Amino acid sequence: MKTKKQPETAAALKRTVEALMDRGAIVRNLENLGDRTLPYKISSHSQRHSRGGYFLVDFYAPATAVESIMEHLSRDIDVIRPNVVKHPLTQEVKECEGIVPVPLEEKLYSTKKRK
Amino acid sequence: MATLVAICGDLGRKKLTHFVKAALCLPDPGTHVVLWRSRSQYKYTKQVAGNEDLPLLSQFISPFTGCIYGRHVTGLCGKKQKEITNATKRVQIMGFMPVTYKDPAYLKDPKVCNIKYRE
Repeated sequence: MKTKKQPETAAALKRTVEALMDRGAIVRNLENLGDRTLPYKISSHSQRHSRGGYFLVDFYAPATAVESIMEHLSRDIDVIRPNVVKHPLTQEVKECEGIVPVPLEEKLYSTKKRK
Repeated sequence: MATLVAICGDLGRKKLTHFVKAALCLPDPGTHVVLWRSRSQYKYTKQVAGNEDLPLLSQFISPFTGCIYGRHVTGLCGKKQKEITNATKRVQIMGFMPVTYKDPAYLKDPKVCNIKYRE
């Protein structure tokens, strides 16, 4: 997920996707999450930004490529805040049983053997 | 992206949970999250995902300071509290959610936490 600014977004996006593909990433999907005012002013590359466009790029990539991708994106002036996150749907959903009631009387005195 | 919600059974004060059940439909039509609460038990099976969960995550932060409520306030179990905290921090750093205050669009959400402010 990145935030960009300026009307040359198409060129910047193309540049980014090409960089991703150069590092061996297979781009699945590119979504535009809209332009909005950022929740707080972000300073990057000696500029203060208050509005940005949000883009979400779905891609498959080897884990070793993440570092080089982040390095490349941090150098790009158009990208305000680069982020790479694991895809949330690929993680397993574990059942949560809630707060298990613990019998506190057993914990009152320690059961260690004392000489 | 639709997320699955499995609602587990509840014990305890029926009146309170009834009220909680009625009030807990979020304004965001995409995510239907119903959180059940019974005394201190919080059964909640759902994966806290990234950007679409902003109304859910905003329920657990203070509207005045933006700080994340603690376990004694939210009543969540260990795992879920950790997940929510991590997700909130992640979303704040990525620039989707404000840090120092609660997004005004979510101010009218139903209250899930135990917090009581002085009037």
